[in-house]
Amino acid sequence: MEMNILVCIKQIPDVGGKIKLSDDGREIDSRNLGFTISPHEECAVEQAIQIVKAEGGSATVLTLGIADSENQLRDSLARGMNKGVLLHTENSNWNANQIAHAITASIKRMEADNGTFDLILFGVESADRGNAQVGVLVAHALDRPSVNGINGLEIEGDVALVKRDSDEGTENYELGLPAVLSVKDGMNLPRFPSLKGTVMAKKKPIEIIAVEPDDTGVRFLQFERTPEHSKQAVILGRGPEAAADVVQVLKQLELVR
Amino acid sequence: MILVFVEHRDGQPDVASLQTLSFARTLAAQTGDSIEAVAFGPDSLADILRDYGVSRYHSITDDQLTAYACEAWAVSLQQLTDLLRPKVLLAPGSVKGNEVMAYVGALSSLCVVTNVCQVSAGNEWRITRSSWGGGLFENVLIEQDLALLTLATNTVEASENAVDSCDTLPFTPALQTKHFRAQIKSVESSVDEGMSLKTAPIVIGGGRGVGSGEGFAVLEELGEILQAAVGGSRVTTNNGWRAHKQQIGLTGNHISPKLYIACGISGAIQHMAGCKNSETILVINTDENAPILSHADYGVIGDLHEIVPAIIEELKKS
Ligand SMILES: Cc1cc2nc3c(=O)[nH]c(=O)nc-3n(C[C@H](O)[C@H](O)[C@H](O)COP(=O)(O)OP(=O)(O)OC[C@H]3O[C@@H](n4cnc5c(N)ncnc54)[C@H](O)[C@@H]3O)c2cc1C
Ligand SMILES: Cc1cc2nc3c(=O)[nH]c(=O)nc-3n(C[C@H](O)[C@H](O)[C@H](O)COP(=O)(O)OP(=O)(O)OC[C@H]3O[C@@H](n4cnc5c(N)ncnc54)[C@H](O)[C@@H]3O)c2cc1C
Repeated sequence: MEMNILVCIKQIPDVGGKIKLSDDGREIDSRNLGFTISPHEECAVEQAIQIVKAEGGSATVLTLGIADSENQLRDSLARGMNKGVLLHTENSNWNANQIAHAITASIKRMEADNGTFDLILFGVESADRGNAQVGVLVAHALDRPSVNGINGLEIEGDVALVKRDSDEGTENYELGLPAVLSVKDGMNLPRFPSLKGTVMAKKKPIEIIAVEPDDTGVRFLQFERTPEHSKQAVILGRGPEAAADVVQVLKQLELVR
Repeated sequence: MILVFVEHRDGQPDVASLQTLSFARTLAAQTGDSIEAVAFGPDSLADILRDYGVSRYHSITDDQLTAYACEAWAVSLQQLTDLLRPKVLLAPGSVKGNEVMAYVGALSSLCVVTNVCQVSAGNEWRITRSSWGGGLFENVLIEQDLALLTLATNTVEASENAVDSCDTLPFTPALQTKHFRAQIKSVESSVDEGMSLKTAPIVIGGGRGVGSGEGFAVLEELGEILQAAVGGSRVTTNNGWRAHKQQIGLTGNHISPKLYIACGISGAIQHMAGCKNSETILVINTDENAPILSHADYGVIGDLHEIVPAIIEELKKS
């Protein structure tokens, strides 16, 4: 069965070893940083590419974000997604519910024009706020079945065979399509964009639609640093000569005799 | 009233749920509320719930509720909440807890705050939640009458504080077939293979500095001698050098060994999120300014491919 798939991704600053905050604590100081998406979302993109390769169809990638998030869409297009949608906003007062509303509205519009998405994929949680909400909210708004944090997916006809790990073990589900699924990192090994893919991505279409947030029930105040556990490691030495000192430490910790 | 959603296995609440009950007690002390619990479980849960300070236990029963079905659970919780009108519905931040609460939020058009670490309830309810994989706290204000919260795991310890008695009150929700369209068909219990990252007393981690899948051979050899489990950073799983099962960090395993030996790993916050509970961290890195050194106890500066073999030699000698 040809599959029409949508994947939702979110641009975040790639913070490395230390997060710098703006003075008012409301933003990440991203001035010298690159941008990325969550590993969960990378796996969702990979899954969509693999399914469309196997079954035929089309894979669309969507993000709600500032103009620069187009780069994250291009990256997914370079990996093999077919087209992109940017829900463009320069407003920063979005919470999970508002993002879900805006995404749902645009899905309804796209589906009216081009037919239903058999699968809508999310990451289980975004890489920054990680509220783990947006996927479920969209599933509910579209009245479709959903499972959050899946580790395995196979399509059999119009059924999705889904695996999810929880404290109980691996849970098995069978969902009728269309369905909404939130993917967990590790489900597959995401490919890197190829050089050819990167060139081709420049020609792939990205539709840009302006959006604004609606009302809210939770108000963000600011970020706060977690307690600094900062310590300075004792340098045992440089190069292989330090091996004897390492073994000394292992003995001290009573991990070897 | 504070309503706590409790998960259980064969009538025994799980640790995350007991922690949630303990957290609810500190919150109840601030607000002067009572604590009630809700579970999809047997009447016998009441005995344990009483020990954790619960005076009323709402036991949800329905013939179709044989196996977990997220929507059905959420609809049940929402109907009970509509009836009881608590100030707070609090759930453990587990896979199911977060999923069910997201649905409750969707059903009631309310916002859910997940991964909560602290609540100060005054005129305004100010909540601190864990954000950025534990790298930052985030403060939010609740501007709705019902607070829907999930608790970050291991925020508090589970501790008993018994009340005199706990009444069991059955609740039968009004459910439709469509609420069961995503229901568990079967569960395979996971089998542990070999030395587990989660339980091994020593863990060796390799990062980009290892250079290749083959490069892990020296770490494996050291692992054999020390009886240690070997894992890797996301760069190594992403490149296919290690299986994702062996990833350490935010989206991989969370480890807490006596000693973590991190080789060729820079110390990104998402990596540290998974290893910061190690008792001792020893770093081998070519860069004396690597961020991981400010989270570590010991460091050796240099090429891991020279240093690890030298450690192996030294261990063979003694
Ligand atoms: C441009 C922008 C600026 C913002 N600035 C602020 C701010 O200054 N203050 C503030 O309080 N909040 C701000 N937010 C909102 C906040 O960062 C979160 O996006 C919001 O709370 C959504 O929840 P989450 O990230 O925890 O998503 P989760 O529910 O954890 O996300 C789950 C999945 O949903 C999908 N998803 C999530 N977000 C998007 C998206 N934007 N586009 C497409 N798919 C998505 C992804 O697949 C993700 O893996 C901003 C958001 C945006 C987009
Ligand atoms: C939402 C999200 C979730 C993530 N989850 C995880 C996660 O679960 N786990 C995880 O690990 N990462 C995770 N990451 C990725 C993380 O941000 C980093 O990209 C990653 O941890 C870096 O891996 P690394 O330290 O191996 O590589 P690098 O950052 O490239 O560091 C390599 C280090 O090796 C040193 N080195 C190089 N050569 C040698 C040598 N010969 N001998 C000794 N040292 C050498 C270098 O000095 C450097 O310090 C996540 C990222 C995001 C955005």
